[in-house]
Amino acid sequence: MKNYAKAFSHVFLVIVVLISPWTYRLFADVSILTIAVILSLVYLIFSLLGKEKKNLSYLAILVNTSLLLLTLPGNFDLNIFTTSRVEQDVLTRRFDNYAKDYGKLYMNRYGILYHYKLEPVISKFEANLFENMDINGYFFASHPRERGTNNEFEKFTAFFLPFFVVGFFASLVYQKKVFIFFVVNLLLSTLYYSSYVLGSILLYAYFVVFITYGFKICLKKVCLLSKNR
Amino acid sequence: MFEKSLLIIKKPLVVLIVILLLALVLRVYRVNSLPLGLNVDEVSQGYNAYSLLLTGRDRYGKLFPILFKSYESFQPPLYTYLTVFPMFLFGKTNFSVRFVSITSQLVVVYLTFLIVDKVFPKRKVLALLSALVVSVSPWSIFFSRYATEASLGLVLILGSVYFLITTEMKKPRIIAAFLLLALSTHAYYSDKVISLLLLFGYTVIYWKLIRDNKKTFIVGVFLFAVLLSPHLYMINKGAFFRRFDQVTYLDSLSFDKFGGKYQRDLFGRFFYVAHEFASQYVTYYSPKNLFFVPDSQQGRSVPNLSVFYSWMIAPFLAGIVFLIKERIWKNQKLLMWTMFISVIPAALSRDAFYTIRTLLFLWFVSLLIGIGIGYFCERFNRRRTGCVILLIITALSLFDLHRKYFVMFKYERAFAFGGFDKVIASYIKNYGKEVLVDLSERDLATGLRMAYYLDFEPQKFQDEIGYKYLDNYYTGYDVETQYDLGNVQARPIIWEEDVYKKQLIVGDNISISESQVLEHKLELLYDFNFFDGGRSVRIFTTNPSSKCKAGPEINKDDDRCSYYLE
Repeated sequence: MKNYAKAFSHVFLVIVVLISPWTYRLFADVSILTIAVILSLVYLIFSLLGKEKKNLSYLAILVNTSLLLLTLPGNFDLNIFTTSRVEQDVLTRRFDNYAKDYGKLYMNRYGILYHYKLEPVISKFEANLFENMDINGYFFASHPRERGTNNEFEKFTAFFLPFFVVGFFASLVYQKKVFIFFVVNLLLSTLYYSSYVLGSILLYAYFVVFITYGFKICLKKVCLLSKNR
Repeated sequence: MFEKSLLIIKKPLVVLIVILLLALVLRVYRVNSLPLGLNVDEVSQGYNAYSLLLTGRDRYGKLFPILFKSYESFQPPLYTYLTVFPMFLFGKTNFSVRFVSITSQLVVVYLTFLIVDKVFPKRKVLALLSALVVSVSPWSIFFSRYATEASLGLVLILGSVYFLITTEMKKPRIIAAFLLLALSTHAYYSDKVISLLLLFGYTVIYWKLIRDNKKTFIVGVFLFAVLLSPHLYMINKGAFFRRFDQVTYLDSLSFDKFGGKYQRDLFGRFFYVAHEFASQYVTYYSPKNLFFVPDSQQGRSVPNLSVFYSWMIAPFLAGIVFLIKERIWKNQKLLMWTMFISVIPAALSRDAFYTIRTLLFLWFVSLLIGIGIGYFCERFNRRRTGCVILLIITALSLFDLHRKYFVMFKYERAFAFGGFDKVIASYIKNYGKEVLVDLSERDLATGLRMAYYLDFEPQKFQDEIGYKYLDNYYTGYDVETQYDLGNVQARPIIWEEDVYKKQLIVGDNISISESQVLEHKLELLYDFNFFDGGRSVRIFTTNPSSKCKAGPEINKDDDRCSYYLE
């Protein structure tokens, strides 16, 4: 039974990769080398589930880093460290309001530094981070809170969502290593332009693996239930 | 887990009192002036309560309405009826209108403690942390300081849940639970759905207990049904489903308009509804919406602040881990069921992440955050350092809240909360001469706000304005477009007539453009600017004499000008 579940989950992994629209966008837009790196990362992360092999982890880190180096230079979010004229206007107006209410508590050089330099950068990092954490962005093309860009697309079919939820939380509890890898990639994804046409490319492998892992767990539960009957 | 000395609190009652005091301060501090004015729903409730207090009828002259007509929709009645008491005690102030909301959310903080304490009886710290999270969470503070039926509905549902999980079929408790559940259906629209689903869940989960105590259960259900009977009376009147019709995507019209790719499919409508429901449901769980992006409605959110602080995502995930590890769903099925259903009413409406409809869900998220913080504390295993970190994070969060709510919100959302109308009303209150306030479709509540802030007598309001809508009170959806309030009129400006009378004209910079100011020779008297993105409301005085002399097309024979030109 165990082997069947394992074989099934491998087949499911391939199915997830093959039928997700995200895969085809990748094939259309990135080089063969990047595709190869992404797919090998998928397999490595999947193999990491439940295993304590150091070499495998190092290899996964290496492949993950290569993916970062391949994709980041062209897609780095330059907006993080620059302020547009509209943003500057808003900042100035808000500063005036704060200054009126807080007086010298805000109108000192630390307040000015925080308001004009630090807070906008933190806020943009946060925006990118939470954009990458938007579940609707992956399963419903950001519906119902579309961002008004033309790049919204359903990265996975919504039928995979329950498996993803199961896989995600099961990893959070039982697969700490994979989850830490995911969190690191999530943080690194904040450096990417959030409306990047391919979505947060670093997370592709993790989403595929979480969906498959969720499926595997559900399959095991179903098998266990039918066995008990 | 949670059994180490670290998490034992010697005087939980003292800590709870401190948390309740903190909650009270955050909810009443400057609540009369922040939000500055009353928004469209608040002013409707406020003026109706004022009218009930003085005349026993609502502003249209309806005696004891089951639903209160409010512009083109209807408001559940309980909040308005309860507001009569603070209106009587504290007078006609913003605080009185918000009193029920404030009290409800304070009771929610206390109920949080009671419920979590019931679930984890040996871990008082979890109950305290959850109560603390609710007391400082932006959603709870915001909806306390804003008169909303949703807060009242939340406290009634939570009260019912508390009695249901502690009932063990004791007669008074089950009756109290069912009564509160039934009352909640008169408090807020979402709670009609939630209360029925909750009752269904309770019956299934506690079926064995119910079977052994049939009598008590039947008495409870009977009382529930009795209290629901006004809905039966209303069910074939338009008012009952009006709000649902306004917001749902289940109708064919929505499918025709937004169905998109599904319109060509055989079971297209089914797939459209399923897809819409799933996406709406999931969006309430999305970290982006819970921890970063605020509700898109300006009148229901704080700028740059979502319903929780962004750092809370970490304890939220920790709380879920704790739920999974402790297998909470096995012995707290009713709570899990309530959390599951709490998003359903909101997911049935087409508005995206409409926070006010999911206060119950947000309460559950607060609970998970509180439990998650406890989980972190336990893992951290340093009591004093943990407390210091928690205090620092709480203080920083409150400072962030102060910046965004007490400063940024004050300026940027003054318009959404009718702040301008309050200021204008105080300006023109003792003016004595003719005043025309522009009432545009952008803010239908302007006229009613004027009536409220100018102390216009409810009896007069009923006789002169409200009576027109009384005949088809529950079936008509007409909106008041003209308010004749003595010397003050609130209606759209009629440029062909109004500039030829000597009067004050009040409007924002969209309703009165610069070219109109020049064309009609209006003289600026006062400019109210709240630094709201350049938005301002201005008071002009008309100048018919100059207007008549300047206009080439006007001559002495024109009735409008003859007086000024003779």
